[in-house]
Amino acid sequence: MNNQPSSNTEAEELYRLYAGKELSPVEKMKIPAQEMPNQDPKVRSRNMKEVALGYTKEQAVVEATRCLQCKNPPCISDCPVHINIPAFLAETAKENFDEALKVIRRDSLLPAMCGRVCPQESQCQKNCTMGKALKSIDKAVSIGRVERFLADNVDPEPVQIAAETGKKVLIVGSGPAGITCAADCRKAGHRVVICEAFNKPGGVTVYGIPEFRLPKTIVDKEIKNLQAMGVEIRPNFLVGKTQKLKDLMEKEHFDAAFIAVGAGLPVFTGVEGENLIGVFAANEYLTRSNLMKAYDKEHALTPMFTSRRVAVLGGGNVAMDAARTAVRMGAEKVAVIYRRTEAEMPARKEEVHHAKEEGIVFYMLKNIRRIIGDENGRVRQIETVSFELGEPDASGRRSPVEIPGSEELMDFDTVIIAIGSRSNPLIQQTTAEIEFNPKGNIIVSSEMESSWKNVFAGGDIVSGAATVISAMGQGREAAKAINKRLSEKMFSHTFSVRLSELDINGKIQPYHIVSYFQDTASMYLRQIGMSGFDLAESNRGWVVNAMTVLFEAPLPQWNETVEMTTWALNRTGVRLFRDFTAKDGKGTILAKGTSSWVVIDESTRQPVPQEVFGDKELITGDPILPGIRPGRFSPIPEENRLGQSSYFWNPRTSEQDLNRHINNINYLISCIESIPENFRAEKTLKRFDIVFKAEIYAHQQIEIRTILGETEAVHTLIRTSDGKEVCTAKTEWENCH
Amino acid sequence: MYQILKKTQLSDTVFDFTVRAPLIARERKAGQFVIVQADNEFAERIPLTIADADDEAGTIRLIFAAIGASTRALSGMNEGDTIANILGPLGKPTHIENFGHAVCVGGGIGVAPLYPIVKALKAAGNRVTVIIGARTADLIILEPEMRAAADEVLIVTDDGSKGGKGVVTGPLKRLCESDTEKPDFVVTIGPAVMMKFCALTTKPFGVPTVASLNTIMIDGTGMCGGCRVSVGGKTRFVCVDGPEFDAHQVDFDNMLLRLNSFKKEEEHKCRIGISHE
Ligand SMILES: Cc1cc2nc3c(=O)[nH]c(=O)nc-3n(C[C@H](O)[C@H](O)[C@H](O)COP(=O)(O)OP(=O)(O)OC[C@H]3O[C@@H](n4cnc5c(N)ncnc54)[C@H](O)[C@@H]3O)c2cc1C
Ligand code: SF4
Ligand code: FES
Repeated sequence: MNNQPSSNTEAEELYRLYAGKELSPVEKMKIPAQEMPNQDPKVRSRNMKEVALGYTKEQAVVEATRCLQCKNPPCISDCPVHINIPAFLAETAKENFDEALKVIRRDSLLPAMCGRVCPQESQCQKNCTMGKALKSIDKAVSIGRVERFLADNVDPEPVQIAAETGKKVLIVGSGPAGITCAADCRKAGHRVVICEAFNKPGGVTVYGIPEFRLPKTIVDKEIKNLQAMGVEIRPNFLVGKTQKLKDLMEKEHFDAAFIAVGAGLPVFTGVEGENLIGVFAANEYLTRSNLMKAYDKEHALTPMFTSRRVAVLGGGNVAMDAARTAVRMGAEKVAVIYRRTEAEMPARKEEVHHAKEEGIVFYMLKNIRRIIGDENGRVRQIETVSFELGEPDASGRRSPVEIPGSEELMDFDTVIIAIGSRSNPLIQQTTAEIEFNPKGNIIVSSEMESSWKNVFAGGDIVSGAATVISAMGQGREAAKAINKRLSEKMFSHTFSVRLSELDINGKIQPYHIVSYFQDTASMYLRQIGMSGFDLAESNRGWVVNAMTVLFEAPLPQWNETVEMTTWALNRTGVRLFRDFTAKDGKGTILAKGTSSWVVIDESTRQPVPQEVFGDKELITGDPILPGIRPGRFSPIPEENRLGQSSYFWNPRTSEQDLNRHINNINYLISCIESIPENFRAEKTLKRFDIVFKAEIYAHQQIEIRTILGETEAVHTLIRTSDGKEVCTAKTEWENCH
Repeated sequence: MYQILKKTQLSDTVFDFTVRAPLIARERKAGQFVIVQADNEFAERIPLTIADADDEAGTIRLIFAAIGASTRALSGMNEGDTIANILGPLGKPTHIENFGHAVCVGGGIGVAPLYPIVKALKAAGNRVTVIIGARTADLIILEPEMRAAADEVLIVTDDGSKGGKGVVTGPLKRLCESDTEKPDFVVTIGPAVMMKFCALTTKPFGVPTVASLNTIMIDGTGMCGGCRVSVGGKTRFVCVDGPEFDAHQVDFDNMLLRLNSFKKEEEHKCRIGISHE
């Protein structure tokens, strides 16, 4: 860091006294909390350079020495990603800086950023025992500052990247969530591509948070690291517009995706005069300055509005950043207008403090009523109204109540609105597969997976406008789930069978083609036993199939192309599900269904009892469709039309049905072994060759494409979502009379 | 990335670039635009409508007038040079259907974004009349292309140097008043003042009219709110909700004001621009 202080005599003295010594808690409490050296307010309000200069080595060691090494450290549980704070402070106190950074990096990928922008006073430092003991949150151990010291001064260990897996992960958005998920997925050996709408990656950390608080070199360093790891970044790529998410995933065969598009939609107040000249959303004001460097009036082509008197609405970090940027752009007066009191302001305490030092005025318990323009449509004044704190409500919070008649006019020529942001609706509008809540945030599972399988999401698009650290944490969680998903091998085997096909009447029906896939899959599973499942080790069961097909349209005719899309096995407890959709050549959906497998104990011929699987749930009872009829090969109503069918077995079936099912399985096996010779059919099936050479993973989508030829053959092709053909089958028949 | 393959000068200030951008060429539809940024550090982000695209060649065509510092910098680039950033296609495509008689009114550089719309309307089966307005004959662009694409092209110039003397609202009004040629649909692209008066012209006749707005933009993705306009009393973002809106609902006066937000600052920039030339 170029403008870091080189010495601090007081800290050097303390360092000589305490460093490396065993100290009692009482002695530790006597060590003064280390102040952050800052640029002088008068100087810094005329430059864009970073305000906080960072601890010297001595300060970092002295501050770390203050940590009491609590038995039950509140700091760890208050940290959104649960960094082992006392451990890294202890290593810092011992001057094992490399080790200290390693401890942090186990849980946080972006310590240089988080050390600077985390709201420590409401997270790790909030309940710090030292602060409590000294009865002042300002005297808590400055965890964030020590973190920043380490991140700035220690080179992280080179990252180890696992062997290439050949899998591909798409990341949408390059903010803290996207960066983190990208790094973690890349480390697992997957190919990672980030698509970013802006020309520069980094998200809010480049376009929103100003240079004076988070130097862009720090973000650049993280981006360069990513690129050095082999992550591909595609700037100017607005997913949904440049290409739709689905097209992108299909065309380039991505195995998983992570959506981290942030919460970039500015909220306006709706008051009169909001479209006057001189009214800006903070996003616009900050983006001009940060991304397009408009503050550099000599070089930048993007103009920055020239203001004398600036009113900023809001009390968060965004408001502070906008107000402090306005100061640096030369405004004579900058005021922050906030509806509640300073205690409720969500901004980092340090930023509020810095803003005040820089001469920014705070009008608390005030809100804007309207904006008044001059004859040229430029902002001239604003009308505000004042509030007072009302009686505490049930939660004990005193909410602001408007004071009647408190309207007042103030002179301003610029109004910057920083009252919050929502999520950009673009992905929602262009991606029907993903479910959003009414606020426009993506709904995710505890593993950060959206309603679209293998598509995960995290950061502000999930939580609403939040913090860098929580975005980073969610990126990590998602990466963990993605890496797990991409390594779950469901089955891996090579075999080939010859199978003859006929139905009860000895006729071949087009819908048998659909059946083939199911049969094939179940036989296939039978062939390979349990391999790939947890059950493999128990080695005491087999998998049987209960399939439900809901036909929604007339069945395919000869000469039509049927396309089946199905997920590889998806395991819930001991049940395995496979959803599938069959479409004809025109894309009309012919059938949709779920097939499920249940594990049967070979000796008892009963579903394997729950105990075998520990806490994994054994679902008995079919959640898919009630009233499933067990049957043999002709489950589909004669009409070849809307109807419902199932065959084989489901967990609610009686013992008799179970036996019938087992017979079916045996029948299938016998089909493999011999081709019955004596069936009457309009068309005679000559043979059905199927070759499986499969490595199918839980994350993969399997596409089954069948072409029904008039005379010669049925071709079946099974392809996984990474484009590999895992099965080819050809069925031949001839006319016979 | 985005290489300039062909550069033609259409008039004193108007340039026509063919640029490599295969993804955009594939996805774009009539009425959509891109954000162009000539270099990665200090350039401004400027919205330009996609005048044409060739999916097979993977190219898009951008036609712009070099009037501000940024467009002038762009016009100084040459074939073989690379534009640092192009983001798109942005905005909603024009709603195209067979309206019957569609009248497309373009003023100045607005004729460029009008061109793909004319083609699309024609392809959808409309009878298409194009009205082109310009200050003077030299500033008329894309006339041959328009003649090839539309059923009829009417030209007016302020100084009468080509076509009728006057402004586009003249022929537009005559069409509206005609029994046989009354438009079923009007789309207008050009200077805000022109669009405002087109809207005022068609309103009494109840002719559905759409204007394609070209406001100040930053990101083009709905993130900054800089492009906001008031439409039917509601604040809308041109980059994501537009660029086309019901012209009878647009508050053009406010839009005109907002377009001048940075006039003071731009003048300063322009001077810098000139001294560099
Ligand atoms: C001015 C400001 C100051 C802040 N200060 C602090 C602070 O001090 N401390 C703190 O902890 N937090 C702060 N925050 C909040 C913090 O920055 C965010 O919570 C965090 O950046 C969210 O990370 P993210 O990865 O979810 O999204 P973002 O950082 O928002 O990144 C999303 C990225 O996705 C891109 N994108 C969006 N849509 C698409 C698409 N369709 N296709 C491709 N790319 C797309 C965007 O361009 C953007 O780059 C601040 C926010 C702002 C705006
Ligand atoms: S709470 Fe404070 S004193 Fe206790 S371990 Fe954490 S940092 Fe150290
Ligand atoms: S250009 Fe930023 S919201 Fe439209």
